[in-house]
Formats: sequence, C-alpha cells, structure tokens
Amino acid sequence: MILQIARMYMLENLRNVGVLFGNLVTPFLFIFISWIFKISSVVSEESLLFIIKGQFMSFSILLLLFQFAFSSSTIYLADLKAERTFNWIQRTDATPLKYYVGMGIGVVTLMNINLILVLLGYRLLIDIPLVSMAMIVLVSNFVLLALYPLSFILAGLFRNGKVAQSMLVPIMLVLMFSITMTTMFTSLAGKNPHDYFVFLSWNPMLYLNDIVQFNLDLIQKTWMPQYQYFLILTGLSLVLATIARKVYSIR
Amino acid sequence: MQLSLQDVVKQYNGTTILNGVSASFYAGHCYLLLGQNGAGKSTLAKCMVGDEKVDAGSIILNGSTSQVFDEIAMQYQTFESYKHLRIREIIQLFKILTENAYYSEELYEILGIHSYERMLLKNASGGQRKAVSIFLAFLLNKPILLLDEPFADLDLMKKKKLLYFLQTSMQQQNKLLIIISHEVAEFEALFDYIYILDKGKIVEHGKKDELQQKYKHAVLPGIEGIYFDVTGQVLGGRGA
Repeated sequence: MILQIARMYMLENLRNVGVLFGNLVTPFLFIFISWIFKISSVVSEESLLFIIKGQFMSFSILLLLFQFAFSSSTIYLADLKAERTFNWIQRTDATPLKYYVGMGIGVVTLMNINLILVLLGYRLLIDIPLVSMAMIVLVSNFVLLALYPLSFILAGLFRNGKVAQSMLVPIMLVLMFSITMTTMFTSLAGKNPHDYFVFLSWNPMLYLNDIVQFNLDLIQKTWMPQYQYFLILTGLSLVLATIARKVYSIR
Repeated sequence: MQLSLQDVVKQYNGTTILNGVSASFYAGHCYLLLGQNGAGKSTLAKCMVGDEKVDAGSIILNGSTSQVFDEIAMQYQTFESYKHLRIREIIQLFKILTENAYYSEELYEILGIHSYERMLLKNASGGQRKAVSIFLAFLLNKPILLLDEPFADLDLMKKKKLLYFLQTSMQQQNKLLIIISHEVAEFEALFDYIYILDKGKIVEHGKKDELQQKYKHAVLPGIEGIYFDVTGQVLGGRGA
C-alpha cells in the first residue's frame, strides 16, 4: 500500500512536465555552464576548480534539494488539500500517516536519483572522491528529513498549489541566499563565515552547505562536528513534524 | 441498519443552512433527497459523511454516534485529484488502498471507463470525471452510499444502464442508498422514499407511493408533481 502511494507520487511528479523541467533545469544548467568554462579555458585550472566546487556545484545541490525535497512536496500537499483528496482517502484503509510515509518514500527516491545524477555529472568535470559523494548524499537525506515536515506546515498555510508555488520563490531566496550570500560576503570581507553561522542555525540548508564545502575540500573543518549536524537535523525534523501535525489539516 | 439525523443544524458565517433537519434512513432502500439550489442538500450530504461538522444535533448509526462516517461513501459531483495519473491508475490506487474493495466489472462497463482508462485525469471531461467519482464511491464498498447528482453529465445510455445497476446490484447487497438529484423523471422506479428540503428544513417526506397518493391531483406527473405541490417550484427551475 505504502509503495503504491510512493509510486503514484513519483508518477505524478514525473508526468508533470512543467514542474519536472523547472526542478531539473537549474541544477543541470550549472553542470552545462561548468563544462563551458572547462572547455573554453577562460580561467586557470585552480580558479575553475574553485568556481565549480564553491559556486556551481554547491548551488546545484542546494537547488536540487530545495526543489525535490521541499518545493514539489509543498505544492503537492497544498493541492491534495485544495482538491479534497483526503475526503476520498479517509474512506479507504490508508491512514494519513501511511499516506505521508508513502509520499515521503517517493520524495526520497526522486531526490536521491536526481542528486546522484547531478553528482555524477560534476564527476565528469572534476575529481570528487566517492566517499565525499556518499557523505553529500547522506547529509542531503538528513536535510530532506527536516524539510519534509516543513512542507506540510507551508502546505497547511497556503490555499492551493498555485499559491504555494508563488510563495515558494521568496522562501527559496531566504533559505538559500541567507547561506550562500553570507558565506560569500564574509569571505570577501576577510572574515570567517563560521562566526556568523549561529545566526543561521535555524536554516537546514546551512548544514548541507557546510558539509558540501567540507567534502569538496573548500574548508578545513565544519562549523560543528558533522555528527552534531545530523543530530540537529533530526531534532529539527521532530519539532517541525509536531508543528506540522497541528497546521496541516486533511479537511 | 438505521441512519438517523436528529435536529441537525449547520451555519456558515452566521447564515443558517440546515435548520433542525431530522430524518431516518434504513438499509435496503433508496432515498431521494430533493430541493432547489441552495436548499442545503449538499451541505446535508457533507455533514452526513463527516466532511463538515454539525453545529448542533446528531448523526446516529444503529444507535451510536461513533464511527458513523467510516460506514458512508460519497460520490462527489466531480473528481479533481491525481490530475497527472491515468484513470485506470487512480482506480488501481484506490483498489489497493481499500482492503475490501468492490470492483465491479459491470459498473466499469456501464460507465464506459474502458474507452478512456488510459487518459490522464487532467484531460478527462466532466462526464468522465463524474464516472470516475461514481466508480470510486462503489469501490469503497461501504454499507451506506450517498450519490450527489449521479445522473448529471452522463449520456442517456449510461443513465439507463446505471439505473438498472443501482436497482439490481444495490438491493442484492442490502445497501442504503441516498441520492441527491434533480433528474427524477426517468428514474422514479429507483426511489422508495422521498425527502424534500427547503430553506434548510425537511418540508415533506414519506414513502414515494404514499406521497404520490397524497398529491394525486398535482398538476405535474410523478415526483415532479409532488415537489411542485409542496414547494411551488419546478424541479431545477423557477417557482409557479
């Protein structure tokens, strides 16, 4: 039953060509731009490596995770509510929990397949150890764990998928640029970005970005030990799941 | 099995939609719920299936107010979910989600789903979505079935076949059938009892035969005549 729900979630997302294209185009576009940079030799080998690892690849991973783990599920959940799908589901033997778990499996599967494809795409251009790839995949799944309940909270607040879609743009800007811009500007100012991370600790993308940067050898150590990131993300997921239970109503 | 409504009241933003509705429904019979647009039929249906909470009164199944809604399936006027799934995939999904699903090949055939089962729901017409909604309501296999305008949007042949299906298979299964419909002229044989709702109140009810006897001098024939005599309205139209 749960696997069937997962399968249907994936089918719906794959067949929704507009959303699928929107989800894939930006992460893969950065691979294409990286390739153009590489073949055009406009920058030195060292600068190219820094640009790809520090900007393009980090941004691809963050965007991909945002789109597949958060944006798609928020829109989907808002539409489930608007279309009163649970009026039907609640009369079957599928409990809401089973339904959300099934949908979650679909989200995890789609995100991981695309993430691995993106990482393999960059691996064609630069050297990325398999261990680093595995670590990036692992932390991405923990971030997904935190973002998935957040999508229920937002879907509970928005009237339907279209409203959710329009609101997700500023949310994306806040979640992503609060990390990438802070890191970039503090670095340019000659300061250590880690000194400011405490103010961004509410943002799950912070932990992803820091571990990605560490595993790509851009920084010598993470802000906190990596195991603590996993604990924080798990804790954040539990807190958000508790709020989500109150905010997202099936009626 | 008896489903009872006792003094059901429902308000929206201070406007009373249902004003003390009481009714009783028994298994093995088909009930027709009549009323003009805005009379409160759909609100009553939503309260009966638990989609809306009642403000006062109670809904009782076999003497108990608990688990009433687990026993009722409703066919909504349309089906809008899973727009990017094929119709047969939606049916398959519900078949898997429902342990005791009632998958009727006969109904599948009657509704002509074979001819558009590969279509994505987003491309389906109003009639096709209505057919999916009807099929899923039966698939859920509940002892009480509430159908909201089941004949609207269906072509004439499907209407007649659906009437026959409802008459035969539903009575064999001893289910309780409640139908909201404006189209009654060709389907009168289906209904055992009639409830007429006007301005949130039940203004007339009884066995169809007894009501036909009571209003035998009505200017219009059959159920339409009863409705006209009670409300001064033509079904689906304006007042006299």
